[in-house]
Amino acid sequence: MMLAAFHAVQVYENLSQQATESVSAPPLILAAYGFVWAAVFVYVWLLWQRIGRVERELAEVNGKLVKR
Amino acid sequence: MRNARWLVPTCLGISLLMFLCAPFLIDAAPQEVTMGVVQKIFYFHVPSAITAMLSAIVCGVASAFFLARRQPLADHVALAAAELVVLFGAIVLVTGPLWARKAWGVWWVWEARLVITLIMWMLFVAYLMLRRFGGPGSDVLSSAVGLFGAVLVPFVYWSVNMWRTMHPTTSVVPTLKAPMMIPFLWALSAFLMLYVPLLMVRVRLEQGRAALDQAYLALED
Repeated sequence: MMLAAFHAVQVYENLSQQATESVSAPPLILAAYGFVWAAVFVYVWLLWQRIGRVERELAEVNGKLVKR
Repeated sequence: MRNARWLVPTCLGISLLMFLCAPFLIDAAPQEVTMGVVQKIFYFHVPSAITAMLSAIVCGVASAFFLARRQPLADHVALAAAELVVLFGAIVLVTGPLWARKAWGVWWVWEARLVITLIMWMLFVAYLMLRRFGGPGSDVLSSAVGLFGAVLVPFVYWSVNMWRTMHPTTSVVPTLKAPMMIPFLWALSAFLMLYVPLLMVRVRLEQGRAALDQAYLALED
């Protein structure tokens, strides 16, 4: 039982090591940094779009209120 | 308000400059011995996690204030902070697995730190969905959700010390040597410098929406 468990752990460690070694680090770093920039830029752009829409609508409604 | 007019572009400008300079500082930092170059993700992963947790606390405090006093500004701050938890939390949840793939050999492990962080993030997504689709009274309900989200922050932080996990413990950052600590603090400052104006602008958007609702009510009368 103990031997089987030990063998399973060894197999897992070998697979894990192979998986770790087979991956190149630079693409992962670039993907991580790229995602940070992309997420922030998309959020800022959407935020400005939403503000612009609300301010235009507010000016429009205020204009109607003034006319009355 | 006059101060706020120049504060937002100033903070955004400084933050942008800091983000542009950060890769040079991070590249110059020494490589971690066991993980190698992939450890560089740390310089964006940890500051975004700190910013997300800070934003969750801001949301929790503002939610508690709104529940106690029912001041609209507190609700606007809570909503703005909740949205920023989702933004910075998403950065944490994407950069973490990218780092883990190389360091641990897997994208994801169902261990305490990762799971509690995911639950906290999903709680703030639920907060935003409640605000979007909850109808009247969702501001009070979402404040309770915001409070629960903030309560999770200490569990997220200390989970790595309470349970044995693959994730590094909280002792890593305080024990960093100067060549690693300087780029880390630089990146953290860049994130915080970005957080402040984003929070202010998001609050401004919510104030604009409230003013628009008032204007429509006035138009109907």
